[in-house]
Amino acid sequence: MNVKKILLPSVIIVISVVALYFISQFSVPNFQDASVGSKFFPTAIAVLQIIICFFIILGELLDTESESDSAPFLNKYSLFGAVFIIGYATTIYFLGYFLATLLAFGVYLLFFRTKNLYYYLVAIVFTVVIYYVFANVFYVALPEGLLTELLYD
Amino acid sequence: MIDHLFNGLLTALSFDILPILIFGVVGGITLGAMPGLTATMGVAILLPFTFGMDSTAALVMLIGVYIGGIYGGSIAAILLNTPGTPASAASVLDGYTLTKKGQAARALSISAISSFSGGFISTVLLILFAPILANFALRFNAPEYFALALFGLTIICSISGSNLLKGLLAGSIGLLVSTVGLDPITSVPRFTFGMMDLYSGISIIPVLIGLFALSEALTQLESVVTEKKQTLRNFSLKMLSRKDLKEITPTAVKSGVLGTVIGSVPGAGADISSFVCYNEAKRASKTPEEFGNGSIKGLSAAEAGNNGVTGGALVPLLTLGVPGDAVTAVLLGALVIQGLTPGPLLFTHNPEVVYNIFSSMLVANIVMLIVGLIGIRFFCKIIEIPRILMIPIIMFLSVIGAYSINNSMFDIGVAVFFGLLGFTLLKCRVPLSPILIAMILGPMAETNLRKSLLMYENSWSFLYDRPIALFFLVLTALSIYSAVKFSQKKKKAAA
Repeated sequence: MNVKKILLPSVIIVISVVALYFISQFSVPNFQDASVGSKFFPTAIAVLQIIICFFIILGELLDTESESDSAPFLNKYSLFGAVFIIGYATTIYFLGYFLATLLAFGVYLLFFRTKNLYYYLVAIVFTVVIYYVFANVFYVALPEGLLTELLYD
Repeated sequence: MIDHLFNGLLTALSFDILPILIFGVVGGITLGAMPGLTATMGVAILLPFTFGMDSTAALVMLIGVYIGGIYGGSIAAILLNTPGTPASAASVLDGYTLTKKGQAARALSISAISSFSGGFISTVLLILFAPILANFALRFNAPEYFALALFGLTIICSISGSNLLKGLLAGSIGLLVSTVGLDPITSVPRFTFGMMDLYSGISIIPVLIGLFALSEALTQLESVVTEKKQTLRNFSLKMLSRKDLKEITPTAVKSGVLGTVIGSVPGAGADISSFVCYNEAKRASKTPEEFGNGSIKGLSAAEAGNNGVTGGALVPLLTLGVPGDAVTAVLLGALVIQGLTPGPLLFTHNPEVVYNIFSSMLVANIVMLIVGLIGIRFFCKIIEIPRILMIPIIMFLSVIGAYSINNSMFDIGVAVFFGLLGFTLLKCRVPLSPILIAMILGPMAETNLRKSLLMYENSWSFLYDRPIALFFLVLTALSIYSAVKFSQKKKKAAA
């Protein structure tokens, strides 16, 4: 049995059970006279999800033929990617688009030990061009960042 | 209709719109040519660039990206034996063999002409049949829309591949996510946890950016270090001859029509179409043994077949408001952002928008042909762009794209969350398209079911009282049955 293959459906079963608890807490309006209320659809989906996951787990338990997957779920690059994207989203909140993107692009290129100066130039040009295009062509304001706002205040 | 179409053509060819269309087509070809970057991802990434545009310019650009992206996928398939998109997998069979023979330019020019043929025929058929279907759909009321949404949800079964249960699991995740926010009938808050950002529900755009752009970028990152530098074989720049053109024309036309029909069936995308058209061309050929050994008819069938889907897939989207595949689901998001509601009323309330889309598709196919033929040398260079540089660019564009919709940091969080969720699900071999399709059709099904029950005073008789609703319910049952049979057949074949 491959534990990895039953992990996801097991987690989703837990989430569905938690969802069912929250659904039971939904308020019911006094004026409602329909047979199908606000709880019906989410309940049906959560129950359906549990049934699907149950069958997936059952299928994996009964499947003795397929080889177990020994490859790690994440390698160091995908782990870096996940941390990088969360880090970028957080940094952009504090520093704004311009500084956060320059910083993140630099960190990314350093992580991959890129020595090609052309790549660093691309990073700067990309950051500036996107900032200019969004601000002056599409009139979309990119995040200024909490720090910049505090400095202006 | 002719007036609207003529005005649409004038708009598409105007100095304001044509450069945007060319930018979209070139952008689509560029993204599609890079292995791993699909047309869906291309439309998702470039979607934020359209927020500040008016509706015509925005839709024209995305249509250009869509058409260019499907064609662009073939460039990597033909030159590197690596399909740029799943839709171009069939093009590898004969395209790469031609490249190995030093005839890459001939293969690419055949690909451009066949893609144009498929896309153009498909658009003409869309223009002819979509208004008729939309006119018929005007008779729909809540029960019909509920049955239609239910039928639309069965797309999930057909796009789940061999693992139906995992596709259904993805669909159920999308349905559950779609219930977040205020209840559509009674406005009861559901799964909002007191957060104001959740009261209006989870916006589709950051979800699709997360699922199709961020998760794909994370997946690509895993292999980016181990990949070798893409190097091209030497090839002659001689394009197709008149004899080649004469030989491929009947195949390209037939595959274009077949691709349109396949594309108009919800759930059957460009990848299925290209293989079906390839097999059909092989079956009808007097020399089937040439297929797989550099047959220009084989390449032409695959290319016309996958571009034939572009018009067909827009039939259910524009006439019924039901996306047939992931890329049309993204286009639906674009329409909604522009304040338009796809469906039969779009033809009545905004005919100029519909005919602008039609006209821009015609022009986009012509632009694709010209750019495809002129730019063969340039597009060969695209596939040499290092992915290590493209991945952070995709990530940054995804994040700022998610932000730009509502200038909301919350939407960045949503995109990142769904990016990580999508990455995890891909690792577990759970398809992502069902999540998006369920998120779009879930609220449509729920709202119309509850409206129908109110109309019929809590009786479920609307399911069999109304012929159109009944027709869709029968189609739903047939669709589920065929998907289960297909899944079993695929599993047996794999075993």
